[in-house]
Amino acid sequence: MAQEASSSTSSKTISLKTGDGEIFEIEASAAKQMKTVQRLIDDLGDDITIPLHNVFSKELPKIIEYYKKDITGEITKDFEAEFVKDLNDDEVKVLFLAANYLDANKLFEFLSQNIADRLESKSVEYVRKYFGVENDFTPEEESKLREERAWSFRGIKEDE
Amino acid sequence: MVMAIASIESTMASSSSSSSSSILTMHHDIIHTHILTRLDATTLASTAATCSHLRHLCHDNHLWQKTAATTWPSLLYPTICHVISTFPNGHRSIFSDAFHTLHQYSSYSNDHRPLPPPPELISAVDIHYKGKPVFSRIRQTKTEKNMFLSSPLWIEIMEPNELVPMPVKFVRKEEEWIKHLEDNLYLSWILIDPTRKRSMNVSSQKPVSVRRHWLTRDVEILFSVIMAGETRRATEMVQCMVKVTCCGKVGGELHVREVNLVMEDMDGGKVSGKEGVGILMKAMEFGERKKVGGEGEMKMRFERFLNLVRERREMKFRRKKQWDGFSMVVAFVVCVWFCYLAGF
Repeated sequence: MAQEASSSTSSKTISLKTGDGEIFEIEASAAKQMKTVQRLIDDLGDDITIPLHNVFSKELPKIIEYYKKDITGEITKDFEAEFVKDLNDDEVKVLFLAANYLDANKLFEFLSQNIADRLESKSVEYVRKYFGVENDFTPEEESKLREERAWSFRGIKEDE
Repeated sequence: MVMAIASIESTMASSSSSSSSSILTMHHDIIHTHILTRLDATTLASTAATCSHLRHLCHDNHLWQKTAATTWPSLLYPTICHVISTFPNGHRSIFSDAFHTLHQYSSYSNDHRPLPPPPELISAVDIHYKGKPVFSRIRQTKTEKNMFLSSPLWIEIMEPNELVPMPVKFVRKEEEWIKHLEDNLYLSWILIDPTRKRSMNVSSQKPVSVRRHWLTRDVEILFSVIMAGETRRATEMVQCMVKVTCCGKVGGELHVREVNLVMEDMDGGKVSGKEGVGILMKAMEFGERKKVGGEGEMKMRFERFLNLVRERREMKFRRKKQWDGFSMVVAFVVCVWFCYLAGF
């Protein structure tokens, strides 16, 4: 049951439908910040519900929350710190991928920096898990790599 | 209309469903441009060790150039940038060669062939205060000139009569302020050999001593590294010392007047340019780069070296006194003998 966007008020809202079928409202000015959504609006018109197949109901509200603050110019360092404070690494990753899909530049840059901060000083195994990759080096290659990056060891077990 | 949606969606970076998100399904450029460029050197090194795909992405010299310039802003100077980019591993090799101070090692000069001096050495100096860079300079030193080789080794970073302000307040309470400087100042002196494409950090990184000059009241901040020289000589161990001389008025800012590098031997004398460069070359080629163990380790080594110099001086003085005493006795005996012979 698609909701029609209200076009009678001066602050226009756009309806967005997530990949799992939920519908969220967002102000037109906030939607403008997400280039993908804007392109869809340009092609489909702003009266219909915009389908976002690759964004889901878990992350879209968070993205909308960010851009609600952005259009009122209230994004501060404190807000950004609070925004990511309770998110675990997977949630940040999902938001990052969604922001990329939506071409939401400001959020994307912010999340890129947050990911870089989260990876800082972490062990190789941690970084592997984060990127979702497997170790495909031979033992000889691994020992050569260890030698090459011996300068970066902080003497913690994680570096092994 | 359905085609329009499909075509728009197909031009975007595809990502899998939120439940199994792998960042690597994104286009390489995005990971490279947005995440890797933001990583510091240590994290970049760890990321390169995760898998071959990420290793390939991390081997871009621009990433390492960027993080090297953040760590040592002096490496942004075009001359140095160009020199380092000719190194086999580019800016990555600066990290493996100069991230850690040269570690003290025992003398090995007999085991290794003497190395010919390079035509030039480049010094890249960076001073950080409270974690922020406050001074960055480079200096190219021609090491083949006779004047350099025969004079005591001396590399001065600043121009004569130059003063560079630092955002460090000159405060009245001396002891506390000196401790504050010791805790918050950091200096790195990277010596680069453009011919052999190696480098090393000859600074203790944290100060080993901060003192006021007894006459001029200038602040002298010392950074020192002890290294092995030539065996069985006064240069068996030498001290590579960086001295930063600052002046200023109480309540105002500190101004840097001089930043220089000298080398001292165990007798407290200055090592010549020729011998000094020889020692530095051996250190650069064969020395170990290691994280200094524990707080105050470098300061301890500096103080130990000072004690060594003092002991050697005292021993020399004692020996001289003994020799003088002995000579006097011999002279007296000879005198008495002559008197006897002359019939007195």
